Amino acid sequence: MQNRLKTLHFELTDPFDNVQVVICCKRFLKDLGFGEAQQYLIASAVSELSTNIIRYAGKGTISIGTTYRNGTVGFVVAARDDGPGIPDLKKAMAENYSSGKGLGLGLPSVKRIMDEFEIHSTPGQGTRVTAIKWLE
Amino acid sequence: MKQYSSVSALGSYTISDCLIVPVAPEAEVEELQRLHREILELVAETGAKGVLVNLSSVNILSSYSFTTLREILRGVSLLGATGVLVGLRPGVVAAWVDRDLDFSEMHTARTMEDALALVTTRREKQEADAKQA
Amino acid sequence: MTNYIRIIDTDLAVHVLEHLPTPVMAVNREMELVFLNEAGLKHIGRSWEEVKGKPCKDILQSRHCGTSECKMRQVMDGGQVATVRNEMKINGRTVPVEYTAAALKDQDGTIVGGVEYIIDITERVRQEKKLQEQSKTIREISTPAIKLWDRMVILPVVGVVDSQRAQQMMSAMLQKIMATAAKVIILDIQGVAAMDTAVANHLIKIAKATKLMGCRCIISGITPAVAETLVQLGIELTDIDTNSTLQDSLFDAFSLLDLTVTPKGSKQ
Ligand SMILES: Nc1ncnc2c1ncn2[C@@H]1O[C@H](COP(=O)(O)OP(=O)(O)O)[C@@H](O)[C@H]1O
Ligand SMILES: [Mg+2]
Repeated sequence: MQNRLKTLHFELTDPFDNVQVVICCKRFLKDLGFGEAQQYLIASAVSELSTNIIRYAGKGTISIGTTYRNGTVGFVVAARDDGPGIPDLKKAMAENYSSGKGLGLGLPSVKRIMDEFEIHSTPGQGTRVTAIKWLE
Repeated sequence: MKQYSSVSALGSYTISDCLIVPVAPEAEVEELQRLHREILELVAETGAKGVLVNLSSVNILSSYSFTTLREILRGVSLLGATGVLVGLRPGVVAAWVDRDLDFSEMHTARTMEDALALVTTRREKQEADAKQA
Repeated sequence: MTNYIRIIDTDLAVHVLEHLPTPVMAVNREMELVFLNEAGLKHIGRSWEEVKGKPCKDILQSRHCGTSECKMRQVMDGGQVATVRNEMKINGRTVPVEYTAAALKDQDGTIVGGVEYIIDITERVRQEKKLQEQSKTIREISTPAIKLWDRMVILPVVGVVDSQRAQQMMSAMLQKIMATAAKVIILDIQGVAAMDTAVANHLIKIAKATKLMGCRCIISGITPAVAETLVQLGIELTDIDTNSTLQDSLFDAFSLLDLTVTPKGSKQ
């Protein structure tokens, strides 16, 4: 029940919904005990995921929460959408690849910033990204 | 100090070794291409040290026009002078930036005075470098 | 001492379910009600006798009822346990709810029905709406481009930069440079909530546009956190002057205008 209470869920439909995500995310990270620079860094990674949802899938959800392993607490973010999916994940995860007008640095940097990163995407069905950052 | 020299058909003139080229509001790419030839000839002829292309009354410049302007600046640079785009308007700038064009090596200035100052600074630097060499 | 490791007796289980403060419902394979706890009955304002064995869609009248979205149907067809949002009509009022559905199996593992519990999320949705309203308000605060000095403009960027906002900033900045013939512009990003690659890209574009306008761009407010994030994002702000503090940026801006700030009365 503890975990469940510590979960925030955001429905993204409009580019501006990202404001909420970023602001709530930073507060959440602060409450978890992350330092200021880490709050900024992780919130930026989360913002990357929500920007992708809005840009490429049109709508979807971002959930943030806590997770525990071996006595360590972690911040977990899950991004999910039922959008067009990514046909070539290898390409999408490579630096500087963008199917749109982006810099193509988003997904690779989320992977770099977070400690654990998982992406699943099925063309025509959607994309799911889960990432964890452990509190040192 | 204004010394108007051979005013061309297109209305360019020189001020303190700089060729000033006004561009008409509705200038299309063909006109810029004509300017291109004329400018290079004039620079070679007069030994102008700077070419200030005044774009302050131009509202629309296509990607082709952009390419031509870049070629003008390159040509001018090859002739040992400094080319500057002066007074670009917000609409043109927004469109160019949106199209991800490469303007890293282009000189720009807000006003004619700024452009003249820029040419002078570059010239002084060139001369200092030349002396050192 | 109570022995914890034992099979819970059925009566106790039913008793517990009855008193859970949120609706719990079970149906058979025909989607007919076989159980609805007290909270559920209270919600719909009916007695068990009235609803017993009735098709659940007649009782609950939710948006999912009778559609392919119904999770109860999905779990009975072998789907995963799922929690989703829905809306229910309760006493003529539409209430936002979240429900979790799971299949009910007999000893052999055959699916014989389904169970679900429903949580009223009116308060949560209200909070979310409020947040949404607040962010809408933030959206409407446009970023001003302010003339700070002769030929010097500052653009303070606060909050979140999305593409709409970036466009508004861009045009405000371009118009101001044009109107004031600015020679230097300070883009103060101290108040930007997060720096993702899209935001960085917008800032780079603004800096490029500034250059085309014949104006120098100084980005101020690159704090250690911002710098670290930019490095992690793999973004280099080449060709752009950056400073940590607004004070340093101001100093640089004055230098670019060939101006110096000196204390009153100092010999210069
Ligand atoms: N949620 C998503 N749905 C569909 N495609 C996506 C999604 N996220 C990323 N992509 C694809 O992966 C590519 C790389 O994404 P990213 O690294 O964030 O770079 P950028 O957003 O700058 O293009 C995108 O251009 C897009 O084609
Ligand atoms: Mg992206």
